[in-house]
Amino acid sequence: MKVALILEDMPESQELLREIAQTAYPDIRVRFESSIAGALSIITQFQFDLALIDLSLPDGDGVTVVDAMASRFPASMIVVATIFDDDNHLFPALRAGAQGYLLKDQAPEQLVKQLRGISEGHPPLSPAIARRLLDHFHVDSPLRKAEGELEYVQLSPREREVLVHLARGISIVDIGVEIGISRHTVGDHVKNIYRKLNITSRAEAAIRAKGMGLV
Amino acid sequence: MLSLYKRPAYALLALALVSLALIACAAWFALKQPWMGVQMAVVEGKVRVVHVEEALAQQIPEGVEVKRLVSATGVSQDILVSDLIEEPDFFNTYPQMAAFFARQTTFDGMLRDQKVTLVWVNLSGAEMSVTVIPKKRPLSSLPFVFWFQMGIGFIGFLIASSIFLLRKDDWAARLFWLSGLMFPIVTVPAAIYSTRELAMHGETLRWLASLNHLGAFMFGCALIAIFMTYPRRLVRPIHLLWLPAIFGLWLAADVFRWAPDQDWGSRMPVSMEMVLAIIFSVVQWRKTRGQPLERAALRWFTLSTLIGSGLFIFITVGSQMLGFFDMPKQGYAFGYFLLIYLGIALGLRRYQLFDMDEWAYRGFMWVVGALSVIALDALLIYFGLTEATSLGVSLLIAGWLYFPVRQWLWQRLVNKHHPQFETLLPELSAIAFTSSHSEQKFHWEAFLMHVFDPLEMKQGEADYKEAGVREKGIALQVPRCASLPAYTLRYAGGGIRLFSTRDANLAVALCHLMQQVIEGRTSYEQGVAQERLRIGRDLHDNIGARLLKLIHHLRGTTEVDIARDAMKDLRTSIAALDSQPVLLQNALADWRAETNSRCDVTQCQLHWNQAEDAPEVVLPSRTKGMLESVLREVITNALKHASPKSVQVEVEVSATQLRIKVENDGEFADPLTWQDGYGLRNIRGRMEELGGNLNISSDNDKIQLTLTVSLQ
Repeated sequence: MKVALILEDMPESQELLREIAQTAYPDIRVRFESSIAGALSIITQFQFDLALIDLSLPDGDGVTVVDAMASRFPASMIVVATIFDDDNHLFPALRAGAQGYLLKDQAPEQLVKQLRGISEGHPPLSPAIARRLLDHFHVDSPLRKAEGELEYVQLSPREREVLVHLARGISIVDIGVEIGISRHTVGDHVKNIYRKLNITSRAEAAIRAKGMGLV
Repeated sequence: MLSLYKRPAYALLALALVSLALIACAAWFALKQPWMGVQMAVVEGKVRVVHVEEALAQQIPEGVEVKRLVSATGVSQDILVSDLIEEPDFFNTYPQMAAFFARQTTFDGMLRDQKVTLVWVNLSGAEMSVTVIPKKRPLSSLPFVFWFQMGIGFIGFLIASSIFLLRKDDWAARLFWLSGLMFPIVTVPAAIYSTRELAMHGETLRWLASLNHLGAFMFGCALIAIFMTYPRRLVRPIHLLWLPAIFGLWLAADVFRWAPDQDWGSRMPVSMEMVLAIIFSVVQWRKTRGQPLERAALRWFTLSTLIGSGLFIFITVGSQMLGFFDMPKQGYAFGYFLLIYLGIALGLRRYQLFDMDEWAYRGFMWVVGALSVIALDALLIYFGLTEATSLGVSLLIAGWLYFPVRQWLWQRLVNKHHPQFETLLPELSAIAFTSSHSEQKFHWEAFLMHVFDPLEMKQGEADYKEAGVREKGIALQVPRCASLPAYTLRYAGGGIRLFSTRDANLAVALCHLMQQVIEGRTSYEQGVAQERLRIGRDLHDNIGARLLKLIHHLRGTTEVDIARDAMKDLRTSIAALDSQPVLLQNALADWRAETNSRCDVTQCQLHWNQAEDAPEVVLPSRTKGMLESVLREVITNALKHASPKSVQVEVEVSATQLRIKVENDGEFADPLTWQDGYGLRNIRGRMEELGGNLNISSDNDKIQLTLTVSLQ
């Protein structure tokens, strides 16, 4: 991790996010942006290994930047920093390619821990989002059927099991205990779920683009 | 379709032309009768001159009494009141009639001479005489009543023909045509002999009168036959021949004077025919119970009879007893017949049957109104009021009574099938506010059943956008209404009545109202949703940002946890604004995850025990939000004050109740000594609002807070 982009309009939060990023990755250099427009322009000029993106910005929704970052720097780590963890806010960002999210009102020590967790492949997943993911990957859901010929990624039975447990509000550690695998393996499953979620959205995007005659 | 329509139309045109030709013939025949140019009438019991042709005006003044007619050869015959009689049927006995015919023959002979002398009496009582040369009767001398009877006769005939031509195979239509054929046979002879100036040949008059009787007898037969076959066929058509057989014999007895007198010879059979027709129509009425369409057809007859006879009574009583106006000539009485006849025709034609109730009501009220004025007037005169005052007073009284009675009858007769609008309105808005579509549909169907009480109700048989009465009143089309489908209702009022235009209008009105309520509700909901969104965004952008700022500022102090809890509560509140009900299982999952992560931070072990197979309960979003805050506060208290090593949460769900027991170890004071701080007060307040309760207990090293909420 060398360069981080922090997209945040509130100075105190900018400071907090910088602190977290530099605690987690001591040598990292930080670039602040406080608007969507600024962020979109800066990512065309520089490469970022890490992006902490606030979702509600004065000139729009941070998801736009998540999307742009994800397609520009597939290898970068994109994390949403928000104060709302409901699925309505976060799900679009996760589909756009965010690999995790931080709740800015939490204690900084905890945030550092979570950021490290994300980079190690143990992103948090609230029950609400897990439920939404289950719906999303549900084979028989009407949404799936409607998409018809669309090639989409199915979850492995184990990933599904993990997701079901997460949806019940059970922590990663407890899931490991319950299904008899290590907490790291559980984390790997969660990471895969994230990845598949994102791949699905790419596949959909490609098909839509084709449909619109862009490709 | 066009040719079907055209052919009867041409046939009808041909019949109309034939009718005109026959009228011309009848007029020609009337003009062939002797004429002096002196019109006489019975005034105050004496034969007086009422109108004189211009050429004679100098020789005989109008208004004088006429004595006798003297022929050139010196034969003289007094002109009696009975000689001016319009209708030979006025005589009771056949000898009287024979004498009348003989006198008519004598007058006819005199008037067919070169000249004749008319003797009259002047004002001083002296007899005067004037010589009159009988001449050709001019067309203009035929009075209006002549043409009236001609017209009635052929209009009746053409009405019957028009129905027959459309339905030649229908026995009722055939019989009706037969009756129509009789109409001119009744009226044309009557028109000729009743408008003679003074006389026509006795034999001619007798045969014309017999023709008139023939028509009346056969008209009666046809009328009976109609009600024996319509709407229900009561006998086989072949048996209808008994009618002309019986009444034909009777007619012969009349024409050839075998009967003792006119009462037996003509009045009785004709009245008997009318009574039989009415009896059979009553039988039909009973037979058509539960057949609204056929009953309505009969109702046309009832209505027209009512109006016809009502008018007759009004005119007769009004002229003879009360002297409102002069008694019209008897020839006009055929008008009442035509009215009744028209009613039968409309019934046969099944014309606008579905609006019968209203027609019947109007007609009935019209007759009742007129008759009540007359009855009151007669009563007041009887009690000694002068005619001028009594009419005013009776109009006033009748007016006072008429309108309330009218309104009352309207409710009873026409409006009785229509529930009051004000009672429908709450029902209607209840439907509009029903949440699910299928439920809305169910209630709308029940509502239509309630309002119209049909025997049959079909959905989407035809997708009309307009409401309307169909199948001659059997069916009512209820249009599509908001998202509700169209319906076809059949057999109104449990099959006892027809749908009317009023029903269609009501359906339209209800539908519009329903649509408006639904639209109002939708826009209200949209407004609410928008407002929620706005509040949510405001909370998020303003309060959330400020709280976050506060959290940053309070870093490192103990108060920061209060701000963090506030932030969590804010999230809960915003989520509750979403107003979608939440599955209890999902709510528990959210609470478990939050508690889990909080315990993680304080290095305390969480044991969350919850049955796998909890019943499927749905929590209103507000309840979820409130319970979430309460549980959060409980956990905060435990973590903050007791510094526990472990927290145990037991969740028990039944179909009716949710109980959450939070138990922790660590340091704590005896709960009995607790002072209610902000947190505890808040918990109690919220539990109270939810209708639940909070229970605190402790044993040696553990303290338990139990939240109990009813789920109903």
